[in-house]
Amino acid sequence: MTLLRVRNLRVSFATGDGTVNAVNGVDLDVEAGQSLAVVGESGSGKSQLMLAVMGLLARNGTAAGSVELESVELLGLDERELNRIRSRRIAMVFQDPMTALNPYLRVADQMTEGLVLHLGMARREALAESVRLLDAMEVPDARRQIAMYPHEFSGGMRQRVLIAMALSCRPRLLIADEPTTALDVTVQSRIMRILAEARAELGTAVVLVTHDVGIVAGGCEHMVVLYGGQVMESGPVDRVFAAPYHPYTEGLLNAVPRLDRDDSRLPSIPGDPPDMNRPPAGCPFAARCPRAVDRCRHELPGLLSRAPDRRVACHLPLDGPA
Amino acid sequence: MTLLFGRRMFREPLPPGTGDAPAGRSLWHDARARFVRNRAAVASLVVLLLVTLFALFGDFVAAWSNEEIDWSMLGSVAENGAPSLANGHWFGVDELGRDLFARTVQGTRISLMVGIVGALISVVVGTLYGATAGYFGGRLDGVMMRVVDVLMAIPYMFVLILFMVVFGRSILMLFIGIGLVSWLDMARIARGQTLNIKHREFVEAAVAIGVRPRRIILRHIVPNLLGVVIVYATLLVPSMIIYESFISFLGLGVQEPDTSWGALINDGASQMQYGTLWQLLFPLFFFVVTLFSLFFLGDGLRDALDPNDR
Amino acid sequence: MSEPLLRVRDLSVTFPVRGREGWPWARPRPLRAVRDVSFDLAAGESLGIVGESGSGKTTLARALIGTVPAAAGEARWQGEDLLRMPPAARHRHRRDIQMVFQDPLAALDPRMTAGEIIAEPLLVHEPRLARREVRARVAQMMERVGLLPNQVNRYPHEFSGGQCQRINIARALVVRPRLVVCDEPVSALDVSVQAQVINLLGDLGRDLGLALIFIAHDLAVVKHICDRILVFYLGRAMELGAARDVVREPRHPYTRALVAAAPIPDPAIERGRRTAVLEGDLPSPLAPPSGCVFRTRCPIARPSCAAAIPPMQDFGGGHLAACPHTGQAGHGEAPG
Repeated sequence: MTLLRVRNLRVSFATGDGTVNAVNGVDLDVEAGQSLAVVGESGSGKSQLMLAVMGLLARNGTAAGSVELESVELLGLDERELNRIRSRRIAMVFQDPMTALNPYLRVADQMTEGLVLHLGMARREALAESVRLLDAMEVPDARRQIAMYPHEFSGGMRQRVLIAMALSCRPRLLIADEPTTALDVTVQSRIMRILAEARAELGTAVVLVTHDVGIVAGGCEHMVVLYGGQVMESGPVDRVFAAPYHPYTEGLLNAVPRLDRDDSRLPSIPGDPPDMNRPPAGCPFAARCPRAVDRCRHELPGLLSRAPDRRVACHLPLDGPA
Repeated sequence: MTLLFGRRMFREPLPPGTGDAPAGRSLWHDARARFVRNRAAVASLVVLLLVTLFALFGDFVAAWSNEEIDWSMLGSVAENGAPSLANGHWFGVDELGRDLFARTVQGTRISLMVGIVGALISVVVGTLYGATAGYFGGRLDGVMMRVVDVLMAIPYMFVLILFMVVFGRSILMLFIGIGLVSWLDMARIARGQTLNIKHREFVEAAVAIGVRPRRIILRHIVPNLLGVVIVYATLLVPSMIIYESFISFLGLGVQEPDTSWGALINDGASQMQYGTLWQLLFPLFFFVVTLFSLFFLGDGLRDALDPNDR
Repeated sequence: MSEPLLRVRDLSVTFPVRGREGWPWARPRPLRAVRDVSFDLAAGESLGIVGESGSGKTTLARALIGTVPAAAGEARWQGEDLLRMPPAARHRHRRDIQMVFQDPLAALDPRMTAGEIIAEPLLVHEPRLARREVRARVAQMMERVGLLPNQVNRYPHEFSGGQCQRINIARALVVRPRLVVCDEPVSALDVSVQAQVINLLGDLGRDLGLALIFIAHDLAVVKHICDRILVFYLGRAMELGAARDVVREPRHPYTRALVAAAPIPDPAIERGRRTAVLEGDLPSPLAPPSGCVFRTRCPIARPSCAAAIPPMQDFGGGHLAACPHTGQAGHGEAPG
């Protein structure tokens, strides 16, 4: 069954300089227990897309379209119902682990809060459960550490606390927005492993929002590539990496410096990501695309299925003419 | 010198063949756009302009001079001195039969001057002092800021009054007194902001390039302080005006025949019992309207210049 | 070998850290951000410095450009010690060593236009230059880094991140330095833009004969642009060698962990790799472990590691590592 079903989602922000369309008609499906990577650069709309799913858009933002979680429409729900669904069904982990924790409360108090509130546990019980969760996150000496304040933890440790908190109510879906970007590589691989283990054990579907295709390769089954607020390509990670259909995906994969290769020159994508204050008329990638023709600049390509499980939005995909 | 040179350098046409270089949108430009959208602030600016025009050119309009005594009014101010279009006393006359319109022009002039001079001194002295202390830090900062602390610890209203009593009451004394204290707060604010700015990377970049401290302060720190400084200065003008008014209200401020809002309000208040309410209301109106406008203006400027907006 | 461009010997940087407790005049505790670092840099050579956040790599860069004072050691620039130079001479040398910063937007004064920013080093170091000449040099430099000359009057916030970094690079190069220190110049940029900037720095380094010190947390980026790599951990050098050797045959267990943890954007390789994850976190630099600073997280640590600081050992071909227990065969595995 499809756990999360997003259809034609649009997110726009009213700013002093006019309306900014951050997300322009995105479709997304997450199956139960699946791990999906949402890959995009800054300005691709990946974070706003996820905030819209969570109902956490900034006050000047509006979402239109449809977001269904287990066949329940989330857009338009009032704050109370959303609160019940958040953390019990969907949980989110953010990029900056420090700002997501209250610096004045002990970790124990913050972790047990959700358990007491949402699952109706007694405090003692909730505390034991929290310690168990931290243990599972490989936090050493969890029983003692849990009584500390967030600033006494390292960045990697805080992120583990947040993941433990997010998983404490056994959500069906965990959205992790750049969970390792602020962390060092050695810590990053550990966080990715913890996420994978949690998924295997709890059956929680994980949506990993990231700009780093490196961690996608090791940690996800499916991927969706966003650019300029639109889906460029989607499909199973193995097949997309092996043979991308969209020129942007190909450029992105090639642009990453790799330890196992010795190219003296990185194949780079010229130009800059589009300015979402003034979105281009046709394909958002047309201005930087080596294959772009006139049609690309005027006509927005639709997201079409090209192979089982794989879709691409391009007039001239890399596997042959459209 | 280098300041102006640097600013102008690229306004000249480029070498031929490179096309023209459109001017960029500076942060000031953006701030102006935001400010213009704020109706209350723009209205306040207009009001302040009108008040300033009133102070500058009121004399040319007035039917009477501020020193002339209308002898026909003397003794019957309460009955005949009320505002009237017919006899040219548009705001009425004061208890000595002088034209209140002309007196208000005169008072406005002095009050505005006090506010502007105080704010100017605080902007120039306070900003440079605070920026210097904040930028160099360490012992110099310690000494400079302790000086400010000591000056602040002196109850300066008392000192100001003492000044007036010892050296006689004059506008110059008033300016000196206000100038001595007005920059203290600004120095603290500028120093605090400088501590922030000096840890930003562009200042470190300037140090790495080899830019000298004087130029870093003038070219990199002060321009980035100005937003906060301007906002604070607009809030300082009213407080300066209030201080002056308070001193004049106590009867220690400006001396006859000069006057100020405070002095006029004082006079008006003391005459209230005779039913000559206009003597209080006209100066008070200008005073209140100006202060309100300055507060709105400061608010608008803060919103427009707020760096968090970016 | 003749005198290198830059010769760093036993460089240490110490910050006084004042605790919240105690009196204001209490003696501050020393934080040894960089300890006893030595390396040579030849003209035109590029050296990568890799380490995690808190490893002191940025502090090392700042000591070299002179924005933080060094506590001990020497840094000889063509034979002259930069650290003990009279201020006037130091000022002249600032021209030779320029820096590119991590956050491209934050490193640009928001109240100045691109042209003014790029011209600033020229005004400082060549004050006698005619205005026309300054403008020509700025225009030329902008073109060289891939900016349009008609963007000269724009302000930093009107540029994208990648363009801002180009302005930073132009500012660093306009006075024709011999060495450019790049502190994480691409980590704040988008992947697709990173490659542009890495290529640009590589091209400029080669074309202008620049020496580069390239600081990054990402081993792959450094390997791409640098001839040699210095691996940093908790303020100390762990390994130094040719880029290819350090990545292919890492000698130090820490370098091995770094190589193993670096993700490779290829599911076929990535799934097959069993990454050996480091235990624990970076210890506090205020109280570093005795002996080898890495021993608390090291998979091959022995009791003897706590006793003495291991010296750099030569593994041939200028490949040095500070670990006496590392065998010839790798414990981690080199990818590819």
